[in-house]
Amino acid sequence: MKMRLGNIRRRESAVALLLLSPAIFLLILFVYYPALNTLPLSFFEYNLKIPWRKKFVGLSNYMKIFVKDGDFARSFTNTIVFMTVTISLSMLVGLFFAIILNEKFPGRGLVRSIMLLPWVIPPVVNGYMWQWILNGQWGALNGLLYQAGLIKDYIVWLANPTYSILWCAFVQAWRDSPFISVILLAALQSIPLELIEASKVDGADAVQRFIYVVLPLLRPSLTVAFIIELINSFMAFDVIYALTGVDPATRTLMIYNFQVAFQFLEFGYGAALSYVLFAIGLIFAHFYIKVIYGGGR
Amino acid sequence: MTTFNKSLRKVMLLIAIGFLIFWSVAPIAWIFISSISPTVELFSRPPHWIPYNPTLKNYMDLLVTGRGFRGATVIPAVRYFRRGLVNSLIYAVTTTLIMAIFSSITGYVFARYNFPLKNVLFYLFIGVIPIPGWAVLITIYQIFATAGLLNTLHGMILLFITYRLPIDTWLMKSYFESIPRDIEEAAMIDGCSKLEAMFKVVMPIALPGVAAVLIVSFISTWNAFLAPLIFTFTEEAKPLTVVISEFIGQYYVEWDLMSAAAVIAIIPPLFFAFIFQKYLIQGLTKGAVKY
Repeated sequence: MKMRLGNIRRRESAVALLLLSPAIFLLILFVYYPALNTLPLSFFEYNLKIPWRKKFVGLSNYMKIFVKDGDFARSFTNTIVFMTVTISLSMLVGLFFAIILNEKFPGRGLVRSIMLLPWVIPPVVNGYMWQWILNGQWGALNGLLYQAGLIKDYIVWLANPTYSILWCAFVQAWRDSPFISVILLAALQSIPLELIEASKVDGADAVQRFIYVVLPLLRPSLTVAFIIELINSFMAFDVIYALTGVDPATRTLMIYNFQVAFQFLEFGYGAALSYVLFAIGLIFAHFYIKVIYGGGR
Repeated sequence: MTTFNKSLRKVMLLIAIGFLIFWSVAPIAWIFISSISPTVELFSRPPHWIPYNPTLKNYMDLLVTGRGFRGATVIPAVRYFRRGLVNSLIYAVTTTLIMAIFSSITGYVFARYNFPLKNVLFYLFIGVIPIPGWAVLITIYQIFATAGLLNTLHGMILLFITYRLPIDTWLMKSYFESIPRDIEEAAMIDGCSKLEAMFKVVMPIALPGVAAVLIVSFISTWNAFLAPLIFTFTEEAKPLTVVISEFIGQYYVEWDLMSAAAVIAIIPPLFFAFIFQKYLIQGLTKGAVKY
């Protein structure tokens, strides 16, 4: 009997691994092998335009990134600005919309669908759409502000280095906030009504209820949303690429890495850059897995 | 006093809902209005919020008659655009259908089978989610070049499937875990194998989970831009998103064609999101957040 049970277990394991093998094969071939293989490449000077001049340069690609490369430093600063604005704006808007959609009103299902629209449309199309809205000559935003008497002259929003990075962050936040709303709405709906009622009896007003009762209960979900948005905004590419291309004023690390590897075709230096981004991504991944498995605590 | 408070609250809620709708709809509405504006009206200051002479000319140019744009000396715009539309449909539909079956199997294995290294293997799946693309894409480019997969439909589909696997597997796994085990145990006592039990008894109950996989996979594949931007070069394999990016010239943008193309690209995901809103939300919350 014991033998048979052992056999069944062994068979079950074999079937399981067999069923998983195509997926594991794909993941190794297109994720893990490439991720490892890029590392040795990062020690070479290797340009696809002149592949015969491939040369081992040791750590000098990495030295260049941290010491000599002004474009990297600028892209790093841009990334911090972009991420800070995107995360705070999308969390604020996401929370606000979640609170609205948690109220009961006729047509709520429809409004919930409408809220999802920015998240559903292709991000690159989203970027072009906003580029048209922000257009300096014919743009709808300029038209609106002009007609409202708020500006005297049309402003070329995306050519101004201060505005353009903020607009990129704004459009990214416009896209991401529905996702955050969905996460926070699920959490809001799971708050027991008795808790709210009890605090009403205790004489708490709406603002107090929100700060002392709702917000603490939302904390785990806010953390999850924050981590997801941290990764999203760090990896954002489509929206920025569509809005301003590889403009130095809005060039984040993701865009810069694209430019180095796939426009300048500097695969060696691009590989080193991608490993620096990978290291940053790993830090986020650590929090991600910790938070998702710990239920946000 | 309380009635005053109540109506004040109602008014504030109404304003907030109005803001939400304006915020979400206005930009999309504007691109739609632009797409049916004649070129003269498109370039007017201040903008014609409602076009005097709405027209479908831009759509006709894209889909039927064709008109020159930047790349048109080589390929007529209409063929280019239509081909992009077809490619995008092929990518999205194929990936989605494969993922529905694929992730059901992998999700079921992680939910119900016992085997060594189960946790390690599951980490292997979800560890993919936060890896930024470039570290991987540089080598994939070389693999694709060697294997002749650059600029091919099947190469792109392989890539789409691989990068859908983690989230879709996770989604199906948590869905299966929410179904009580007794159901398939009863079927197995009746002589079904584990796999038979899954297809005959569990899958019908898990259909909402499959629907979530379908909708999330469709939207994400349809919207994909970065990988196809790097791995596709000609109309044979370029999806709509990449084709659209080429309406932007270095010095001049064809805003009239662009707005119509944008609307066409927006319609399929919009349609699915409205029809399957419930499953989409389920897919979002279960795929990204465990609880």
